[in-house]
Amino acid sequence: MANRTSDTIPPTASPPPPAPLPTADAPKRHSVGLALKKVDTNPPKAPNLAAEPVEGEEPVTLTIDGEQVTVRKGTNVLEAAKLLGEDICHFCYHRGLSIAASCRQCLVEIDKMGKLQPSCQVEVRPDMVVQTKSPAVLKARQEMLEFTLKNHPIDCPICDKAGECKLQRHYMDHDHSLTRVDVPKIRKPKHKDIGREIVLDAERCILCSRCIRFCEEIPGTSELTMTFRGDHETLDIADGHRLDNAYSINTVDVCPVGALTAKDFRFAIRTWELQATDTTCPGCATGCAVELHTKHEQAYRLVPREDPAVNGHWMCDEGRYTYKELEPSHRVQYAEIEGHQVPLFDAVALTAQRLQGKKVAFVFASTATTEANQALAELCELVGGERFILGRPIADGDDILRDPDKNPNSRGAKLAAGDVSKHEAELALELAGRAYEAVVFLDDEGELSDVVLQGLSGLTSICFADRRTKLADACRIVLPAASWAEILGTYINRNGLLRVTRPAWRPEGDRKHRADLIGDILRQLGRDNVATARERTRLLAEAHGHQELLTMLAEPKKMRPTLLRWANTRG
Amino acid sequence: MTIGVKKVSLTRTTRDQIFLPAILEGLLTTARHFFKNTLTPGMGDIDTIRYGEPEVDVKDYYPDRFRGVHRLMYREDGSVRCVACMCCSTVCPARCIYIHAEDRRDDQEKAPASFVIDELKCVVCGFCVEACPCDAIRMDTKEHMVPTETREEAVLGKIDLMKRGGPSVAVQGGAAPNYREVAPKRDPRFEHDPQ
Amino acid sequence: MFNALVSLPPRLAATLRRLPVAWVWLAVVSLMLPATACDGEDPPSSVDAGAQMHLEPARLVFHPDTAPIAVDIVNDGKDPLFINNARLEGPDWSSFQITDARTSGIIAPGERATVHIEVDAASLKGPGDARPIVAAGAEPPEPIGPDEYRVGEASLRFSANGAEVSAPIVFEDPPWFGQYFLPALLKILALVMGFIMPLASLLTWLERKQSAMMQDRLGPNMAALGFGKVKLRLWGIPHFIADGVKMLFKEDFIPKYAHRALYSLAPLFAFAPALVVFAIMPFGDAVCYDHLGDVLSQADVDQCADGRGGTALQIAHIDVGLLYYFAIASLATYGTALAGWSSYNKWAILGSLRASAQMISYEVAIGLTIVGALLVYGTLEPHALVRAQMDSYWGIVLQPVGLILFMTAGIAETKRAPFDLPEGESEIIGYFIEYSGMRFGLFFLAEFIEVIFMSAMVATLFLGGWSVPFMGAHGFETAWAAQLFLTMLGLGLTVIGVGAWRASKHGETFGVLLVTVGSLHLFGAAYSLFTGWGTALPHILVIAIGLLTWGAKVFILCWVQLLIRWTLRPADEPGLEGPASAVDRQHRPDGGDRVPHAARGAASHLARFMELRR
Repeated sequence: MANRTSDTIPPTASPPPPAPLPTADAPKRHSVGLALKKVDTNPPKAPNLAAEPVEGEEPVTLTIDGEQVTVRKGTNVLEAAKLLGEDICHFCYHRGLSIAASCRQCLVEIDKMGKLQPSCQVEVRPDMVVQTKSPAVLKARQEMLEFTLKNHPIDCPICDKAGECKLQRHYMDHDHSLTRVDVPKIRKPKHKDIGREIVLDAERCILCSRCIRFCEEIPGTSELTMTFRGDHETLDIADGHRLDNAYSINTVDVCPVGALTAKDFRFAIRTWELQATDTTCPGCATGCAVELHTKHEQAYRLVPREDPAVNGHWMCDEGRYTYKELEPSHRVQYAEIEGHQVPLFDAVALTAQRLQGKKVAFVFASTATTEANQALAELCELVGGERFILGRPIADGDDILRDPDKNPNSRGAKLAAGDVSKHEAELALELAGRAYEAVVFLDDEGELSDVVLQGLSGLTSICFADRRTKLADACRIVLPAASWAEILGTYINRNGLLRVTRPAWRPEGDRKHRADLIGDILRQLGRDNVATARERTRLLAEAHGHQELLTMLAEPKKMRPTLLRWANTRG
Repeated sequence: MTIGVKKVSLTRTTRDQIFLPAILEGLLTTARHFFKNTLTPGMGDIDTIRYGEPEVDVKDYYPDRFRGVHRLMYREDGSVRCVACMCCSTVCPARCIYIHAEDRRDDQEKAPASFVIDELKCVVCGFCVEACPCDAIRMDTKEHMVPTETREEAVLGKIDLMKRGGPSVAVQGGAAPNYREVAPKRDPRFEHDPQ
Repeated sequence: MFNALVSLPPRLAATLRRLPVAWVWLAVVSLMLPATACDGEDPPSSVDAGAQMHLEPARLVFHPDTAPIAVDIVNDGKDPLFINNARLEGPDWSSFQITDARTSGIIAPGERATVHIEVDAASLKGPGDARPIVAAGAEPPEPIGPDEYRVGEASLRFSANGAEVSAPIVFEDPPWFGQYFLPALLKILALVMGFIMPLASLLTWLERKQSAMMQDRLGPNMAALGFGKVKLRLWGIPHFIADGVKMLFKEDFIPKYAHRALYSLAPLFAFAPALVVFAIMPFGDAVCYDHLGDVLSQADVDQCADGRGGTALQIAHIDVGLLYYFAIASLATYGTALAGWSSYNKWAILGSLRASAQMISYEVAIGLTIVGALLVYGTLEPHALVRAQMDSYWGIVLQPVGLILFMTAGIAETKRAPFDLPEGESEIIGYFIEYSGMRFGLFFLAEFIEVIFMSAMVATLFLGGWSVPFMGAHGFETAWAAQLFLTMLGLGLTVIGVGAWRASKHGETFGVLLVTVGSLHLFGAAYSLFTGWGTALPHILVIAIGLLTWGAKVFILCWVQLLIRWTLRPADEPGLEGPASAVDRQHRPDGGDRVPHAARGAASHLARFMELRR
């Protein structure tokens, strides 16, 4: 199984020595000796995202709305204005994509240039004087919006984008007037199934071509195109193709209106009811930065967050579905002994009693957080026993974002468990040979082989489960663990970067961080000064120099989810 | 400039100090009301609307903008006008509207799979009607919520709400006539000068 | 009723519909009224038309402790009456004795001569000569013991204008049970169950309904008596039944730290005195058992009132009657004081202190007010007070200021607005704050019973009790008085009937009935006009008229008390600006009418004045 990183990870116990690992703000990094292709984490053809001046290059100083700003050479006016807090409204411009300048929404007035210029396309020049709020600019914005809205069906009530729609937002900010159009609108195909994940509503499309550029530039598959001309210009898939690439749902994210909608999220909930939590996708070793959108302790979708160091602006379709395992009805809420619900303390005490003086197998999990693996390592040291590591099996990957290692924390588990070479096969064999009296599972992805499960009969099997799986049903003691959406924890991704998962809601019932549950067991075994999960996280953050996480730990309020209704972060 | 002091003296006539004439006057006034209300046909000066009496239809008395139990309107083809935009449930201050949307796979695209109003929670503010972009939900039934024996009976589903409903031909998207132009003139009763 | 008018021309039919038949009756009778001013024929002789004289009382009854009885020989004729040879005869004539009388003389027309007779009761003790004759086959009566009295009989005989006249004289000693216990029990049952409790219950409804009518509200109107599909609303009168049922079935709550025994007893302490004081209240003159159909003179009835051959319509004939009232009424203070104290509630005890202080204080005012009546009529006994008023003038004529003061103090004694400080609805609720269910109901009923008692006291002291003006024990003094009485009664019934008829559709039957009865009274007045009917009425009819008159007076006074209570509330109580809709009505085109500001001010000043004086 996943025995790929043992040669590079120093076999030390927790906390791991951070020195050899690269820091988060290094501009470029390579895979650290994994059996993987070399991955360029920055998306291709993207413009230079950083507008701030860089040392060694000559900066450019220009005037925007009477204020001077100094930016890096090659930056466009739109990004320069953003430094001053002036968000010039736009549709077609996207920081992760090439520039089309087709929407004409970001027109600004530039000195010595006769006509209004699209600010996304104009590079800054020294001593440039830009007006973003002059009457001509405001009028141009309003008129462009009127053009854009001319054939837009305005079916916001049934549009999934409503609430995070750029068109809605710009209309409210810049136009806010009644329509003057009294001719019938052009009808285009609504509700067109164009792919495995995507439904197209061509009427709503404002022809910004973001999705077309995405498909050309990121996955490079170019399924989408424009057909017809003029008023009748319509977004469509190329003949014989379907939008079935592994990153297709990103087109929904880049779409400024609701023309492309994801089938999974379609009509599920209105966006303004959602709360967004910044977290990390647990789908693979890449550890993409994502927002988890939830309401009432139920997750509805994952959307990518901008993180130039890891995933740029994107994430894969596969990762989007990792929220499905947070289904409320499957959660294990209370401790169980032999299938009976018991108080957590009883289960912890029984676990501690059963582990003392026994031959124990400790099964680390590369899907669990580093803190949990560290705590299990401590327990293993105290009790003494054999170490195993389990995780999800290797699957497909590519050289964009998807990693064949589908475990978010392979490196973290390795760091905590030390030099472990035993995996599922060895565990199955030794259990069949009755080598142990007790076995402790840290996590389970529901894909354990039946051989292992059969080997559990007759011995004390303990598992930390956040949801109902075959393993949880087979184990004699089940300890309720909090899922990744309920805890503050860290993964170490394939590049050795510390990835943070944050709580989106409070765990229900007796659910606790795995590290805290193990801490309870340690205390039962007489161990003093057991570190809590938070303390372990702080140590890890200090070791990695993760300033954002340290700030968050100092001010836990910053961890609270944001209501999208007020934040307006998406779209 | 000095502040002048205005002396106010309360003069009490002998009549005031006897009290009895004034008391008699008051007794006569109340007695007059008593006999007028008792002996005149109908209800005399009593303005009360006798709600609940079988011969009285309160709907005749309630103003048109009275807010009663909700109802859901339907289109010409009989399908519900609601498109599950959740505007009502969003604006509802009592959080008493629960909607689950479904994909209708036709021109209307979105429709409520379930539309539930908990009338026990409802505060009858009428915001849902104001928020509705489709003229789907209305409160013009002029019906009070009837007391129920169980809480479940007070939770109205889509079927219950559509039973009270009627066809609505309002154009979606705000092309209705300006109500200020078509509104009737003010009731002359309210034109009366209080003086 | 107007269905027959359908065939008429619509305009005429509409006009007729707007013209109730009752008003036509009224118009007809009003035209007849001036005619009643002329005298009718002479009243027929009531006792003995041939002799043109009669005795008052006609039949003399002696009891062992009876003082000398005066018998009046009245000349009813137009000629002088010569009387001589007055003597006593009969089996026991020797036991009776004429003490002071002219045995002969001339009585002028309309005059009367008095004969005083006394009995030597001791001579009638034990078996005597006059054994009762026992019919063959009948059981012999019980033998009479030596210490018991036997029935003695004699007759007063004299010759008048030569004709021999004989009047019976009877000595009897009826058993205690028949003489005292049974009549008292029946009177208590009749008064309490037949008048006080129904009226008190009715007042609980009337207070709400009347205040509603005064304030342009609907008031209670929903409770109904259901008989199958027929539901009788009766203007909400069944509400008092519903209230009673509700109170009986409500939780009987006792506060944790209350004194359980006193807490349970206090409502009885409050309720019982309110009923017990009614013992002295005369609600009629007297009933003569054997002469219900006869025309009796006042002397006959007075003899019955004394217990001889009848019974007074008064539960207890106590010579110190009004003092008895004060004695019992001060006991009611215990009820309120104990209720407040045993509730273990500071508001309750505040209320009870206020109530005690107020009740004791206003008893002084009541007592001093009564002194006026006492001086004028010279008695403390209510029955005698009424009789004195019948002989002279009503108290309202002689003591008008006393009436006002008594009413005022009486309202204070019943602890009702504007003297409702013990209750203090808006601040302390009162001494019964902790009471619920029927215990509270007892306090509530006691309050209304006190209202009834105060009304009865006012009627007895100032309004002549059961008496009707120009009416004596034998009937009306003149035919003119009978006509006036019948006319007034008929008019009143007709007006009420028309009101009820027009007030609601449910009132139609009742209203038509009343109008019919009222019209019959008017016919009676007309009949009396031509026949002189009414000067000699059978005893039972006089009793009935007296009872009804007393009830009507009490009811009207209760109504007045309610009117006062809902008019004169302290003006500093919030939201009490006279009738409820007065504020709205001032914005109406017609302006409406309101309680004058002066009245409200006067009420509040009066209340404060009384408060300060306490």
